[in-house]
Amino acid sequence: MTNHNKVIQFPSQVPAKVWEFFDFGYLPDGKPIETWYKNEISDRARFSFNALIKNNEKIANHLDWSGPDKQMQGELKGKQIWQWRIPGELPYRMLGSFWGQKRAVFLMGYYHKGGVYTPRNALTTALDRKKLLDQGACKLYERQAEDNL
Amino acid sequence: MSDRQKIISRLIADRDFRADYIRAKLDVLIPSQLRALRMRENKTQPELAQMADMKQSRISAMETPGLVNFNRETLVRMAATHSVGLVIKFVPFSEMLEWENSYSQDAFNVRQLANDTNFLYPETITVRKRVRRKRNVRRVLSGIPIAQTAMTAAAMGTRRQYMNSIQGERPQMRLPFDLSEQVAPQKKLADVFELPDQSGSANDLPDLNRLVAASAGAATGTWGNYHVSGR
Repeated sequence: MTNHNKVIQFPSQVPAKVWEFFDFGYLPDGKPIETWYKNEISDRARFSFNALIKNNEKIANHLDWSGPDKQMQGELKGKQIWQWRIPGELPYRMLGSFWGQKRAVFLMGYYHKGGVYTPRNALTTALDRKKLLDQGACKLYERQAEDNL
Repeated sequence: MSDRQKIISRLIADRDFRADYIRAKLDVLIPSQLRALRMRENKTQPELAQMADMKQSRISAMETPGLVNFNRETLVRMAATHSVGLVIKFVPFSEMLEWENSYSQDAFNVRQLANDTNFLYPETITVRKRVRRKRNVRRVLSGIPIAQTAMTAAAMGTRRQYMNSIQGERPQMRLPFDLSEQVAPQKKLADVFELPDQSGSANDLPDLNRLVAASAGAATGTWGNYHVSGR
C-alpha cells in the first residue's frame, strides 16, 4: 500500500531511527559499558550521552553525526575505531566501531585529561574488545535512547 | 521503582540535576542545528566563517557538542548569518522533550528570510486566512445545531451572519425598562438663557433664531433686554 504511487504519506511526528547502537559485553554476561554509564560518569554526561544517541540515531550519514571528536591515530584508526566526545564536567569519551549495516557498537568509555586516560588502559582495552567483536566472541546489548527522558 | 521514576523524582527534588538535564539537551541540539543549517546551504566551515566574520576553528567548535558555551550574542550572530530567526523561550519539560524527540538533523530546515513569504507578504496571508474563515463559518452554520453555533460564529467575528441566520428563531429579548418612558435629557432654556421675570409682554421675547445661533457659537451677548451666555 505504501509503495503505491498515489498514496501520499504524511510525515511522521517522530523521525525514523536509522542507526542501531549496541553495548559491548563480555561473555557470559559482563556489561562494561552499562557499568561505566551507570557508575563512572556524571549526571550531566549521562544525559548528554543519551541526547547524543537520540540525535545521531536519526542521522543517515555517520559523517554528519554530532560528537565525533577527531580522527583517531595509529592502530585505532587502522581498526576503524571512532570516538565520541560526551559533554560533561570532565572530558568524557566513548570509543566505538561499526558492525554491519547501520549498526554501531560502543567499545569503551573513558575520560582523558592532561594526557592521562582514565582508566589508563582505555585505548588498548578498546582494541582488545574490537578484536573480540570481529571474532564474534562477545555479547551485544542494544542501547536505546530513552525517549521519555 | 524504575530507572525513569528515580530520575523523575530527582528532577523534581534537585535543582542542579534539572540544570544538568537542560544543559545536556542544549549541548547536543544547538550544535546539531548549526551544523544542519550550514549543510542546508551547502557551505563549508571556512565559507561560513567568512560570512560570519569568525575563524573556521570557532565554527568547528560550535558544531561540536559541549565545546562552546553559547551566549546569546553568538546565537544571534549565527542566526543573522544564516538569515533565520531565533526564539529563546522557557517551556515545560514535556515540550523540551517533545522538541528533542521530534528533532532530526537530516530533516531540519528553516526557511531563510528571502524565501519567507509569511514574513515578506503578510497581507496575502491575511486575505487567505479571511477566505478560509468565511468558508469555515458557512460550514459551521450549515451543519451544526443553532445552539452550538452561537459561540463558534461569534468567536469567529461573524456576528452579523450569525444574527441573520437565526433571525427567525431568536427569542424576543425583554429590556428591563420601557424605552418609550425614557425621555431624552433636554437642556432647559433657563440653563442657557437668563430669562427675565415672567411679567414681560410677548414682544419682549427674543428672536429664537438669533438665540440658537448665539448658543451654538458659544457666544455671549445681549439682545434687547436679554442676556445670552454661551455654555
